[in-house]
Amino acid sequence: MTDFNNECNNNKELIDKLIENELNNQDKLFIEAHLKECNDCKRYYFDLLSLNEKIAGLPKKIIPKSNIWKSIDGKLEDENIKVTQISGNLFTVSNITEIKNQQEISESKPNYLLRYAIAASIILVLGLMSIPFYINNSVDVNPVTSVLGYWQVEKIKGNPTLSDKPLSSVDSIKEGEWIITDDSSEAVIKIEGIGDIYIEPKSKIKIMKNEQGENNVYLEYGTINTNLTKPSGNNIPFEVETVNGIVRDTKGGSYTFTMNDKGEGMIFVKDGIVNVVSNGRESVIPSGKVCIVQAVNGPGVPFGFNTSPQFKNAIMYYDENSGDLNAINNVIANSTSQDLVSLINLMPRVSPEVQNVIYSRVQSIAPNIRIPKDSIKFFGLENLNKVIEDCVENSLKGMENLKELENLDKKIRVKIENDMNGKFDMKVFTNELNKDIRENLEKALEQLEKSKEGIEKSKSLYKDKAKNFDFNFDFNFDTAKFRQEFEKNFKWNDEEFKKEFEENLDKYKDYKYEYKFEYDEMNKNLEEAQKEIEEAQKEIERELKELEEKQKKEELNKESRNLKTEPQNSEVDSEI
Amino acid sequence: MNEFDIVNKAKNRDQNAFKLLFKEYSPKIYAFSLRLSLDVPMAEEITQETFIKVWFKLESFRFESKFSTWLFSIAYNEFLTQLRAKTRLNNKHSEAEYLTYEKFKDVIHYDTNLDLEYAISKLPEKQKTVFILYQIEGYKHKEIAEILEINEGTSKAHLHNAKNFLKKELIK
Ligand SMILES: [Zn+2]
Repeated sequence: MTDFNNECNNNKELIDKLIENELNNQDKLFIEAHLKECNDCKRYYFDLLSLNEKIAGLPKKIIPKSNIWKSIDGKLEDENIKVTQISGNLFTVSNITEIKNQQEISESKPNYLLRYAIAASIILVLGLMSIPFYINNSVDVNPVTSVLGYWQVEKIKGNPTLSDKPLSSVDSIKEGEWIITDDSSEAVIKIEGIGDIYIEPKSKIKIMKNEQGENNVYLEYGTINTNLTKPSGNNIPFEVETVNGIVRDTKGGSYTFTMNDKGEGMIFVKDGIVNVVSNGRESVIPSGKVCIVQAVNGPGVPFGFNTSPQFKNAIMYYDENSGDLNAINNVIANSTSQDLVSLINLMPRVSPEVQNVIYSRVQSIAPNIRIPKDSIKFFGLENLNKVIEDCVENSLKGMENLKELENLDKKIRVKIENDMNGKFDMKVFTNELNKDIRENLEKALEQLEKSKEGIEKSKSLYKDKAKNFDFNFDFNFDTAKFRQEFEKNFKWNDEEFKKEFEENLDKYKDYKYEYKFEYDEMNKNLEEAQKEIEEAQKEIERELKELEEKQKKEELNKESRNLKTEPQNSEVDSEI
Repeated sequence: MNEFDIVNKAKNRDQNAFKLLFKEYSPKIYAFSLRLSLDVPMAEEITQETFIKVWFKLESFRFESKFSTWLFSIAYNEFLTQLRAKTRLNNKHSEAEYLTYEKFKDVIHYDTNLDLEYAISKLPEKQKTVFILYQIEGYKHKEIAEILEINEGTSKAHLHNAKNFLKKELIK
């Protein structure tokens, strides 16, 4: 009876395999014959078949109740991206938040570290972005070749309107016409030879004629994003007029500008140099800088989006309290070499005495910037552009060998939310700056060393275990002794022992096989992990070396720059 | 365009390609998550987090396994993470409790064989996972072993036990 049950348990395994189509012909024939004879197995077989049939009817795909894509869509920003957020009301000192997506380096999986090392090398290049730059094109002074009566305009998203009629996907716009975008529409004006002007949601622009009789963009309210080609053939500035002044782009480039109908706004310059002129004030804003425009005071002092919070606060305080000497002192005291553009923009706004103070500050933090000393007394708007161009050009030196330079600006993304009531929320998406790279690489290296130790430990642990486990073992233990122990508690039965022994022998064979398999597998994995770690280590060491070389090169460049500018300084001095 | 091309495009940060992958696989991941969690908001959360993780981890995906295998292993880990968080939050024992048949009917918002589906819901977690992957999603034991990080033999044993349990449940 027991024999029968045992046998049929084995047969049930065969039935499982029969249903999964895993049997060889011989077993198949055997079990099919058995099914004809054994009712127990037959029932087992048909139960399983009907279960399988029911299972086959279950849905593989279920549509979720809510729209999951919608909640995913907004979260697909790039991992390496750092978000600098400047938000708050313009007329109080703004909140400045910085959201940094930090790299996880504590993960112990070696392939992550390898990935990290590779990611770091990309960041290394992108990190240089914080330095403002502009590539100077030779400027031809040819007049504007043609005056276009029509500009091409395209719908990007939603339902923008053209002079209150729906805008078709490609259309044209001329003087006197206007485009309005609602909460969810976007459009773009494409101007041949000048570039593209993207009209973001919640905006209104109008096409007007300027004094020269050319088409001009007038932003009544809202946000535009420009992507203007670097001028070749003409150097006529492209101007956007607003309720509160003009945004002038002389060199081509790219910026994001927003303004409400009260004339309050802000600009972020991604590439090039942009002038904002209003209420008798002018700010010169090179790439990487932000400028806030107030309704009455006009453009404020531009500052780097990634400058220190102290300096940012000092600038914002100054913009509101421009007559306050403390405010100016605060700005000067908190400035560093990355704040040159702000200091120089301050010059035309202050008294000659304060100009002198700023001048010496500029000289001390950036001795290679040329500001003719005799012009300090009269440092006005006419000097501003020239000096800022010099300033930008200077900070470019030492980076000339970087081919990627031209593409860097494209990696910055800016998003400005304008609530039309003086509240702005600006997010600048850039890649991580390189200041932490060395630190992170060193940490990663440490981590790798630890993982390596861990692997060595597990390897020896497994070796020890394996030693105690004889893969070629046989059942040759001392049965007599075993029997002695056994008989302390139970009655010995030769027949039963033999049966159990044989059953277990099979089981042990299986265990042996499985254990050997696992051991080999584990060893293989450990060795792979070790290899990967070694690769990552090499990668990181190379990275560190490159970093060192780059820094050396920068230092050398700095020295040679100082050497070059010294005679120029003495020339200036002798002119006095 | 075959799946390899689409995955490759998504690897290169093409959001449209990624959306295609989402369209194809999110109902499967959701079905998997719902059967495991028996909780609609949690299943939605698992699906959402899985695809966000996939987007950020795609860079490291090297076609060493099938894309869908990789996807399911991320979803399964996400399920475990959320289950741990949930049990921590509710201060409960981590074994999922049976739902009453009435409650179960509220959770299952799709057309199906309710009796079988309810019996599946009562399976222990590992058996259930193997059962769903093998019987419903059509994975091989080798792939399931990869997804769940278990041995092939273990996967086979779980499936066998799961089916025996279901047979008994359905006869009841
Ligand atoms: Zn039988």
